[in-house]
Amino acid sequence: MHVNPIAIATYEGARLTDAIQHARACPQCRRPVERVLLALRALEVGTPWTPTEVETTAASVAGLDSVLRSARPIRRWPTVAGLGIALAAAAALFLVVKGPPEFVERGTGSGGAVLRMFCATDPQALRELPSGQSCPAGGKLAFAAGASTGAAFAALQLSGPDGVRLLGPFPVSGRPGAEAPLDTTPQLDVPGRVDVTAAFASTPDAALAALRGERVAGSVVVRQTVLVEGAR
Amino acid sequence: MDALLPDDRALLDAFRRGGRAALTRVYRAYSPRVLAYLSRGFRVRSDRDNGAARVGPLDLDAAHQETFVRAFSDRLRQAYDGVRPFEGFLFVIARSAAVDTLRSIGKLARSSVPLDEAHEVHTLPVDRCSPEEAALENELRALVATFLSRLSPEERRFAQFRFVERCSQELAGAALGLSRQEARTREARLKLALAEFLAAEGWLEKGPESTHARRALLAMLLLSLLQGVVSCT
Repeated sequence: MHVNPIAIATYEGARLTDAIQHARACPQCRRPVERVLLALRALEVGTPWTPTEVETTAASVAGLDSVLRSARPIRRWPTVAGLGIALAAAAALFLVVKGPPEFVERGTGSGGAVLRMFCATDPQALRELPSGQSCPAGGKLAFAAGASTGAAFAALQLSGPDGVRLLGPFPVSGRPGAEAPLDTTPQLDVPGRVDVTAAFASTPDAALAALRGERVAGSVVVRQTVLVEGAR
Repeated sequence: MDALLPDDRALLDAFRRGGRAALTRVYRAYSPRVLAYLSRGFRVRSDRDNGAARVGPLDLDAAHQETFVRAFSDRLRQAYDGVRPFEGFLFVIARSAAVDTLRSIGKLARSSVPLDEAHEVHTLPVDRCSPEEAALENELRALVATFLSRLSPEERRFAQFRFVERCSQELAGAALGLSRQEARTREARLKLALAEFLAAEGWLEKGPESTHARRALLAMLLLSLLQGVVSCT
């Protein structure tokens, strides 16, 4: 459900926080919601570069629990039980890493998430692009993604000869085997190899963190390659 | 401006130990200042961006939370010397968290680094906006002025008390003979009217980056996926 940018003018507290978090990851909502918030600042504070009291209160309240959860009291010596848990976790991680990947029907993914790439050379020509295949310069990429429950957002990174592009995060509505398009169609301008990395996670921030290479519980990172060939 | 942490040694000790009550107190004292600092902007340098960066309203929550998550980590709690103002220490962390947040959404080059690593107490706001930000601010000021000029005299007086003279909702309402609840409703209606005005002016519509071509391509992809007719290379 998208955010009504007009109604957001009256939101406060958790309702405002939820709407902002949705808009942050929603290409359709992002711009109008941001503009309403900037206009409210101009009205209330006289400048769009100072948050309103409502924004400040909502962000402060929303962040406290997460911040306290992440901060741990100092423990000078790990307990024997703690050490045991750490060893068990390390062993489990080893077993998970060494285990065979789950079977996925199409695209490239690790079972929990699938990313399919498509090359569009003109509005009427769209073809699926397995990893490592080529798409001509001037063409556009399109993506379809599916993820199991818990990985509701995907962020993409394209690293190529023209630099690094970050796309998203996008909400993922598809499932593995029933993938749905992501709302982005980046153009491929410069010939060369483009590495596509997609990070799937439960929240937009977690997807971005996973994309940066941080350890995020439940996240899935998928890597593919596109070869951009000469001019069309 | 208070100096909560350096001045209260008991609080400082509890903060370093990671006591929940101490962390909560520190968070509540400094959170509004961090939010204001992140919004106000700071200087960055990279091979692509040289100048000011600021965190917009949609990314503010993420950068603010990241700032405190880092500041409250074991390592940084111990790193704070308890002598210099905590606010300056926090702003250095805020700049770094903001740069990471802005880089993650592509608003800054990946090589960007914040300038002014010194632990200053009062960082001056960036003294200039980018041309795009200046244009946006001018456009917004003009829109808000037009909006206010179209209000009834009583609505305009309420806006004057509440937003120009910065009266509390209660005081602004009292000046117009309104109860607290009536003032609250009046303010909500005013904000709603502003958003409706912006929509009517076409100011909330999507920018040029949202092209019909992209929509058409995505619609075609969706149709192809549903029909299973996309050919493979």
